Amino acid sequence: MIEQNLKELEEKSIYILREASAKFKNIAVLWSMGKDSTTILYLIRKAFLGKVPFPVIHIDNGIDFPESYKFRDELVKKWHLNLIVAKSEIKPEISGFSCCGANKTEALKKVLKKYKFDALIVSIRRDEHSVRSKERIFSPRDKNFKWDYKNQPAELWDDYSSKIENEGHIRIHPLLDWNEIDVWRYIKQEHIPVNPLYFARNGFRYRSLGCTHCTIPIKSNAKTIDDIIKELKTTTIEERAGREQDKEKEFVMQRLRALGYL
Amino acid sequence: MKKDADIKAIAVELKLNPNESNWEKFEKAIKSSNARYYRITYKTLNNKENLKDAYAEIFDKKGKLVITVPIFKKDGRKIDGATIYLKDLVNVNRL
Repeated sequence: MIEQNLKELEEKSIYILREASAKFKNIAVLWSMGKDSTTILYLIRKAFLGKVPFPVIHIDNGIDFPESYKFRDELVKKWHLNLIVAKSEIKPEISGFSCCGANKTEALKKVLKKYKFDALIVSIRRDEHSVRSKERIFSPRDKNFKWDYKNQPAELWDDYSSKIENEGHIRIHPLLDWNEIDVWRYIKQEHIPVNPLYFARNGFRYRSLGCTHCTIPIKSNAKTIDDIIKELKTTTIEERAGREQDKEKEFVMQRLRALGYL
Repeated sequence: MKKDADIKAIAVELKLNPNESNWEKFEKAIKSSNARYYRITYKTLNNKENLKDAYAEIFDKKGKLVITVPIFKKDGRKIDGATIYLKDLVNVNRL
């Protein structure tokens, strides 16, 4: 039953990736070295005969976890990724909302302008956050990266709109229908490499990875993928409980996403 | 012991002048030192609003604090994060 569910999710994600490849000229993938975006890279390799045919963008604000940098460098070599590091010019005065806006979104705007990408593959899932549940599989952004969440195209019968308006771009979300436990089951089934920060040490582990400044670990004893799956079956804690930007003022995530945040 | 003394001297230099050259020296020294773990922390946990107030505590394999270093790099007026230079260390996972 679980295997069948994963097979259906995998098939749909591969279909989305191939649709995107056929509909857009210049695609890139966003990679944060977390479990979801690494799973996307794996799915791309499955969809395109063992290769990642798109550039892979890491938006680097310089304060990601050291383990994430190490994992990035190892996987770039192993999977022969064409990595673009989009460095953001950070200011020392940073807080959740301004940090994500100024450091990440601005760096992404620059890289899109420089390379003229018309579509970005992003690894968000509907179950992560209520705002992300409003997303479409092919989600349009205008030239200022604004997301008009009140006016989105319908996606009936797996027919996705690739219409780009006002020099904008399309965000492609192949993992939108997956949930957290599906991702971990798939990682286990396919032996996908993952960032070591997800596994517990000293009674804590990271469940969702951001930068060192805004991510805190959760209490956990899950030291293996099986332990994580077992933990997720019974937990009542939200996946992004350790992410500071989600705890700020009401609708902060909605405001961030409307301004172009991932 | 000499290795720890070397890394402590580099950490002092880094606090005064966190430029790329000092970070590269630090990265080389950390590989041959007894340092094993890191933890990113702040002057006060309630105020994380300035990168200059954040620092990394670096511990040896027995959990003894060896040094603290800033987590930013400054060349001229340009400031950048510098956690990439800690990639040979392991997160202690504690708050």
